[in-house]
Amino acid sequence: MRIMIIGAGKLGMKVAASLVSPDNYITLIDINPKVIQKASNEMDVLAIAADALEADIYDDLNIRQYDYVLALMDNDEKNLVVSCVVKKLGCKKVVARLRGPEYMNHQELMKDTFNIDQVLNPDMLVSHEIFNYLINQHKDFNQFFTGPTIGMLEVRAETIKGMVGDRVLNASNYLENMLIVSISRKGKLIIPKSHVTIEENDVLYLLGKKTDIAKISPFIDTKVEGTNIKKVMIMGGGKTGFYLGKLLSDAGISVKIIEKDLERCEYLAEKLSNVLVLHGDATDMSLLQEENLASMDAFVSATGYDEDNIILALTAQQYGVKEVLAKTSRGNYSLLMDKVGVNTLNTLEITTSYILRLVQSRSFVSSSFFLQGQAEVLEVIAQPDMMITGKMLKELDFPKGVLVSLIYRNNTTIVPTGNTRIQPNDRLIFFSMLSDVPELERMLRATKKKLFRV
Amino acid sequence: MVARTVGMMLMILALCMLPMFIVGIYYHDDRSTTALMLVFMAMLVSGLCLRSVEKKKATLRIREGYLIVVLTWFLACFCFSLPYIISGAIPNFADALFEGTSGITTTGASILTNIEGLPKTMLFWRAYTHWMGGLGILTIAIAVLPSLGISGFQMARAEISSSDVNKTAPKMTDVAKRLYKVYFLLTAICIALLMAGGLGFFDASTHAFSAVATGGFSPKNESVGAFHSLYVEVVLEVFMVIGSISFPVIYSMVEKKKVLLFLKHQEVRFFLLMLVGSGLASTILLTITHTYANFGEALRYGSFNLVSVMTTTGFASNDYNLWPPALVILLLLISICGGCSGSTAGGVKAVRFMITGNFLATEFKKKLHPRAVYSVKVNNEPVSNDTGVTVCSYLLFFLMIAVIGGIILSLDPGADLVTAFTASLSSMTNLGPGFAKVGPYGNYAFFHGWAKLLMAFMMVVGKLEIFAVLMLFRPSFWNPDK
Repeated sequence: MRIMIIGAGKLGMKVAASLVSPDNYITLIDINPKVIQKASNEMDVLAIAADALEADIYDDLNIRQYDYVLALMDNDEKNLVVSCVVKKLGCKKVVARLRGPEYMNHQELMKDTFNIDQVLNPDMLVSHEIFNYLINQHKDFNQFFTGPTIGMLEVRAETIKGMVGDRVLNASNYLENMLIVSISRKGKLIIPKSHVTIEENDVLYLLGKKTDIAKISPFIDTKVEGTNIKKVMIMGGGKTGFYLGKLLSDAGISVKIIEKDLERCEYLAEKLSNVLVLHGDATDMSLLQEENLASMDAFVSATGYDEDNIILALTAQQYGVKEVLAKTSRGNYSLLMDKVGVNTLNTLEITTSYILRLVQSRSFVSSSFFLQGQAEVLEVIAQPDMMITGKMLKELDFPKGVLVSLIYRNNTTIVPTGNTRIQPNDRLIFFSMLSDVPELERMLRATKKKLFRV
Repeated sequence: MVARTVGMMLMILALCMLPMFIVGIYYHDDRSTTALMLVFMAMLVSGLCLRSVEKKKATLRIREGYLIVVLTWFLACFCFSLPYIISGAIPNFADALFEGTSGITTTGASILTNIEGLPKTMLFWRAYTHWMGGLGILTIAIAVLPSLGISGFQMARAEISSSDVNKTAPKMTDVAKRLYKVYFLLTAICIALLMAGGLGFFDASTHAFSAVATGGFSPKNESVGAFHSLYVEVVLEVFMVIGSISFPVIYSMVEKKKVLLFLKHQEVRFFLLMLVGSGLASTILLTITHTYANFGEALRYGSFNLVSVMTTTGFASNDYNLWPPALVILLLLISICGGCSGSTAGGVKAVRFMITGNFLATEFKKKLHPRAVYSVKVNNEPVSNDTGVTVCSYLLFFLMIAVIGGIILSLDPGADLVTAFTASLSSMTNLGPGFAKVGPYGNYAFFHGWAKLLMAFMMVVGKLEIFAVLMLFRPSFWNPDK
C-alpha cells in the first residue's frame, strides 16, 4: 500500500514508524528539512522536505498511485486544504487531522465539502477513552468485546465470591473455562502472572466462550447500575479538556476545569454551560484545596505538557483522589509512571492505533477494541502463510506487553502454554499494550521465511 | 549483525558469478572454470558460516553500515582476484590482487603486458568484474534483499557515489532496483549496437560491460584502437557518457518518456558542457599543432580519448602521451572531475565541482558586500553551508591523498615523477591509465609488489569516496564512546 504522510511532527513520525513494513510504501512530507533528515536516517521511507501547500510536488510523486494520504499537520485549515487538493489530484483516500471543536460540530458537512474520507481528532479520541474509562471503571459488571465466538467480561473482583485474596493461579476454581487476561489495579492495566494475588477493587478482564460467559453472568451481582463517579476535576482547558468536559457534563457529572489563560476560560465558559470553569494556575495549591480537590472522585490532568500532567496527577494522588489520570504524548516516562502508579493515557499511541486500524486492511483481525485506552484486544485468525503459524509460542519472540490469551480451535477453547503450536485457522486472542501494537502487527503481517533474509 | 550481513553479501556476490560458468563451459576452459567454481564454493560456504555465527537480527547503526560496506569491498577484491591465481593466468598474488581490485572498482588499470595471452574466460571475467562493480556491489544486495530496509539505506549512503543519497522511491530496495533496470537496459542496448557494427558477442559484451560501467578493461592489447572502426568508437563514446550521467535521471527519462529531461538537471548539464567544451578545445589544439593529419582525425581521436578520460573509463584509441603538454594537463584536470553523482563514473563528481565553484564565487561576492546573504543552489535546491564544508573538505582530502600516494609511489625505482603521480591520481579517480610509463598503451607491471597493493587500496578508497574507508582508521570509530 502506498501511503503519504504530510506533516512529520510527533504524530506523523510515530505513524510512519508504525506503518513501515515490507508491503507499505511510505512517503513523508514536511517543510522542516531537519525533521526530514532525521526521518530518512531512521526509517526506510521517502522523506521530502517541501511545502505541502505547493501542489507541484504531488505531480512529481505520482499522487494517483497513493492509497492513502494522511494530513497530520498541526494546522486544521492547512490539513483541510491539502486533503482537498490531494483528493482532487487523484489520491484514493484522504484522512485529515482536525482538532478544532468548530469543525467537530459539523463533521459530515466538512467531509462532504472538502471531499475527505475520514476526519481524525486525537483530542476527541483521547477524551472518549478517558470518558469510557471513568464511566466504566466503577460499574460492577460490563460485558463487551463481541467477537463471533469469544466474549470478554469486565468485572469487579468482589463480585465473584471468594476471589479476593486468592491467586490468579487458582482462578479456575471460581471461573470455569475463563481466563484472566488483565487486571486493572488503581487504573493501571497489568498482565497478571500466576502468583499475583487478587486484591479488593481490582477490575478483572475475563475472556471466554460466549456460552461460558452466559453461564457465569447470573452468578454475578449486578444490582449497581451506572457509575459512582460524580465529581471530576480537569486540569487544563485545552482541546482535550474541552471535549472531556463536554462529554462528562452531558453525562450528568459535575465538572470543574482549571485553566491558566483567561481568554480561554471565557471561551470555555461560553461553550460549556454546565461546567464550572476556574481561572487559575493549576500548580496553585490553595486554589486546588479551595476547590476541594480531596473530595473529587476523579482527577484528569490534560495540559499540553507531559511533565506538568504527571506532577499534577501525583499531587492529586497525594490528596487522596482515587482516580487519577494523566494525559501524555511521549513515551519517555511510561516506565517511571508504572513505578509510581499513575495512570497515563498516551495520545500518540491511541491515535496511532486508531490510524493503524483505519488504514491497514487488517484482514486477519476479525475484531479488536481498546481497553481503558491502554491496551488493545485483538482476535486474529491464523492464516497458513503467516510467519507465526506452525510455531510454538515459546519460539515466537513477542514483545513484552503482548499476551496470547486464548486460542479457539475447532470449537474448543485452549488456554495456551509455551508449548502450544499455532495451527492454521486458529482464532487467537491477543492482549497487547498499546505501545506494543505496531510491533505485534508487524509480526502478524510477516509471512513465512523467504530464501534470503538478512 | 555485521558478520551476518557480510555473510549475506558474500553469498550474493558468489551467486553473481554464476553466468561465468556458462562462459567457461562454452569456451571449454576447464582450468578457469574450476578456478571460478572453487572461489564460488569458498565464498558460498564462508558466507553461510558467517551468516550462522550471528543468529539475531537487528537494525544496523550508521557505524556498522560503514564497516559492512568496507569489509565487503575488501573481501570482494580479494575473492575476485583469486580466480586469476588459481587458474594460473596471473600467478603472482600482488599482481592478481591489483588486477582484481582494478576490475571491481572499475578502474581498468592492468599489469598485463600481453592481454590477449590470457584465456578468453579470464578476459571475460575481467570485464564482468567491471560490470558487477559499476553501480556498487552492495547495491546489488540492496536490490535483491527488500528485508534490509533502513540498513540498506545506511549502506547505500556509504557506497553509492554521491554527496548525498537522494531517494527517489519510498523503499531503498526499489531505488536500487531502478538503478539496475537502467543498468541492464543500457548494457543490452550497447551490446546490440556493437554487434550490429560487426563485433562478435565476446568483443561486444566485454566492451559494453567496460563502457557502461566506465571501467576500461579491454580484451585487446591495443584496446579499442584494435578495431580501427569509427562506428565502434562512437558507440562506446556515447555509452561512456551515458554511464557517467546520474542513473536516477536516466530512469526518469525512460519512465516519463521525455528524452530531453536530462537537460533540466543542472549537474548533468554542467558535466556535458565541460565535456563538449574541453572536447572542442582539444580538437582545435590537436589540429593546430598538427598532431593528427587533419581536422577529422583530430576530432575522432581527440574526442574519444577525452570522453574516455573524463568518464574515468580508460579506453584508448590512440596514445595521448604524444599529445601537446597543455592537453595532457587538461586531461589530468577533467579526470579529477569525473562523471555525475549516482553514476558508474569515478572522480570527484561534477556536483562537487559545482558546489565548490559556487561557494568560491559567493566568497568573492561576500568580500564586496559583507552583509549580503546568498543562497547557493544546485539542481534548484539550496546547499547548506554544512554541505559546502563537507564537499570542500572532500575535494581537499581527495587531492591530498592523491599527492601523498604519488610521493610514496615515486619511491619505486621504476617510476619517474609523472608516472608516479598520475598512477596515484588515476587510482583515486578509478580512471585506469595515467601518463608516461603508465599511459594508455603502457601498464603497471613494472611496479613493485608493495606499490601495487598500495594502488589497489587507493582504488577502493576512491571508489568508496574516501571517508568510508579512512573512517576505519580513526580510533574513534572503534571506540564509540569517544
